[in-house]
Amino acid sequence: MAWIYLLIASVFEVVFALATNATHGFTELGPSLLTAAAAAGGIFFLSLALRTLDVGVGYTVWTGIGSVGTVVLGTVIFDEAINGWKVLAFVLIIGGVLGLKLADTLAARQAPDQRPQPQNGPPSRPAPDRDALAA
Amino acid sequence: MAWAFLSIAVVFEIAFALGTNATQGFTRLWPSVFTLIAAAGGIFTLSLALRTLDVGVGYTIWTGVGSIGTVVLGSVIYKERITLPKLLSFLAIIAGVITLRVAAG
Repeated sequence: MAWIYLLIASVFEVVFALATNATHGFTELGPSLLTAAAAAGGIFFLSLALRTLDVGVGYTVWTGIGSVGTVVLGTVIFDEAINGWKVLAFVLIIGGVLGLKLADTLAARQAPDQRPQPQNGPPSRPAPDRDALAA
Repeated sequence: MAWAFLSIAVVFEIAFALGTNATQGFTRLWPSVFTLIAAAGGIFTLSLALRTLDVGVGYTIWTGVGSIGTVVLGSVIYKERITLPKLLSFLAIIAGVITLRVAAG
């Protein structure tokens, strides 16, 4: 579930980056409100992901996927060109994200009891989803 | 002066990431207050730096150094283990973000 939260947080981050671009220095109301809402949503879902994920992993994946999504959508929306360097960058970032996911899954299999668990706060379900994700 | 603002923004960003980790999903008051102040401070000082610095350079250094600082301090403060596969993955992502920003101009 933590990785799902992290993906949602990354989508908010992409919206935040694109909307910031449209605020023109926070002088336009609609884009400014969207930017603020996206920033809040991104930070909130990041905090949910970090209840079980390492902060180093969560933060790095958050900004990495956010960068990829921003450039991909920028390419689609603003007709920017895709070149070899961008493709190389995508491969590095996505490869790194998958590497961290794999390392996290393997660590969860080897030592499920030593992983940090949420200590309080909703949702208070006893985290059954990690094994389901790992399976 | 822009580089001084950028350095301050990076420190705020690392404080934000480490603070977010302590909020437990924003259910704890003081870590949440700390995190929001750090986030606002980081974005504000970044915007000051970007008045003269190129946004690609400024943003890349902000998140890149922020990432390195978060991984290193996360291992110190929260005892997060850095294994070789994790280290290689971190380096790939950070190198990818730098490549992306340079390629995007």
